[in-house]
Amino acid sequence: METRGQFKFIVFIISCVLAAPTFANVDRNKLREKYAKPGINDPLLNKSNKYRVKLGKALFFDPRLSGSNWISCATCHNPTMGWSDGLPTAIGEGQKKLARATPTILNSGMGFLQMWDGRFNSLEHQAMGPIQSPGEMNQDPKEIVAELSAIKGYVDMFKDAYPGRGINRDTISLALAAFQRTVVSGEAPFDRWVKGDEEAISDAAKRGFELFEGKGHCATCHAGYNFTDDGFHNIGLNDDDIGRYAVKKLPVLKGAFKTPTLRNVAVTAPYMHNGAYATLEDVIDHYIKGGVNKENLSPNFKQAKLTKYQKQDLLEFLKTLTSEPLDITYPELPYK
Amino acid sequence: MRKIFQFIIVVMVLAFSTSVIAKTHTIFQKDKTFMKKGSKIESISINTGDSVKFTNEDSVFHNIFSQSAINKFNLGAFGNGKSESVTFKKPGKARVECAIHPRMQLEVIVN
Repeated sequence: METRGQFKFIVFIISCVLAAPTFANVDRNKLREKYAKPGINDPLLNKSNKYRVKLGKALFFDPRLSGSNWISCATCHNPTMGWSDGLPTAIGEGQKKLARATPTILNSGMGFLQMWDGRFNSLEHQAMGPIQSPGEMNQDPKEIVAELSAIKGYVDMFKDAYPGRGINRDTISLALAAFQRTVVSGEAPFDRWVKGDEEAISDAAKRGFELFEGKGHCATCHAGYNFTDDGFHNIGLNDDDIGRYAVKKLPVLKGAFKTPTLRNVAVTAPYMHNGAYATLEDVIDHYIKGGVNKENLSPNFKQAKLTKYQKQDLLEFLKTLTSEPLDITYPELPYK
Repeated sequence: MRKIFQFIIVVMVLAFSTSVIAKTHTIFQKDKTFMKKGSKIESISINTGDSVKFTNEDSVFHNIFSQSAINKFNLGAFGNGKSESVTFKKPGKARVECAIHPRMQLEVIVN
C-alpha cells in the first residue's frame, strides 16, 4: 500500500515536471529587445509641448467639434472604456449605427497608417476625418473655425500652442494629434515579466505567450511592443466590407483591415473591425476555426490548432497586456 | 566560313552589350524592410531597362507593388525563399511598397 502511495507520488512529481513551462531558459535579452517600448516620434512640424497637448485635450473632449455640438472625440474614444466605446460598431450623428467599430486610440502615435483601412497617413491627417464625416461628427469645417474663434479662451490657447498660425483646420488637427500622442499604454504585467519579474504573470500566461508566438501564429501579425505589424490582413470575417481595398485596389487587400494593437485588449471588447465578437474567447475560437469566410484570406493567416486548455492559456496571456489606466482628468472647456 | 565567324562575333558582342546595359538588382525583404547587401535601404538608383528582383527572406508573405506613373505593377503575394522580378522601362521615380506591410517602402530612381 505504501509502495503504491510512493508510486503515485513519483508519477505526480514527473507529471508536474513535464507540465512545467519550458520558458525557464527564455532569452531575456532577446525578449527585452523584441518588446521594448518605442518612443513616440513627433513630426518636425508638430513638436509636442504642454500648450499643444493642453489645447488638443480640450478639443478632444469638446462636443462643440461636432455639427450637433453633442458628440466629442471622447464620446467614442472614451478613456474610461479603453479609449473606445464598448459597442460592436460606433454610433454617430443622429444616433445612427456605423459600419465599423471604434478602434482604441491607445498607442495610435506608434502606428503608421490611421483608421481600420489606413486611409490617413498620420494623426494630423486623420484628425479632421471623423469631425467632417457626415455619419460621424458631421461638422462643417468652416463652422468649427467660426465657433472656436468666438471663444476667447480658445483664441488664447491657440495663440499659446501655435503662435501666429490662427485657428483653422490645420491647427485644430495638429493639436488633436499632439494630444493623441500622449495616450500611451503603461507598464503591464507582461512588461514586468519581460524585465525579469517571474511572479508578474502566471504560469498559464507564460504558456499562453509561447502559444502566442508559436502554435497560435498570433505574433505573425501581432508583433513587437504594440502587438501589431501595422499591416493589413483579411482574417476571414463574415462580412462584405472590402476594407483596405477601397484605398488600394490590390486583390490581397480585399477584406483586409489594419492589425489592431493588443495592448489593453482585455478592456476593449467587443472585437474586430465589425464588432463581430463579444469576448476574447470568441476571437480565439475564430482563429481555431481558421476563419469563417475563407474566400480571400491573408496569405499570412494560419489556423491556430489549439486545445481548449491552450485556448485558456492564451487568454491568460492576453490579459497580462492590460496596464494601469492613464490618469486622465477631464479638462475644463473654455466657454468665453 | 568567314561569314559565319563574323556572324558569331556580332551575336556575341550584342549579347555582351545587352548584359552590360540591362542589370538585375536584387533586393531582399528581411525583417519587414527592404535590404541590399545586408543593409536596410530606402532607395536605389538604376538605369532604364534594368530589372529589380525582390527576394523574400522573411517568414511572412509580402506583396510588392507600385502605383507610380512610370511603372504600375503588382507582383502578388509571395512567401519565404520566393522571388519576383520587374523591369523598369521608363525613367523617373517609382515608389515601391508592400501592400500587406505598408511601412515597407522603397524609392526606385530610374535614370
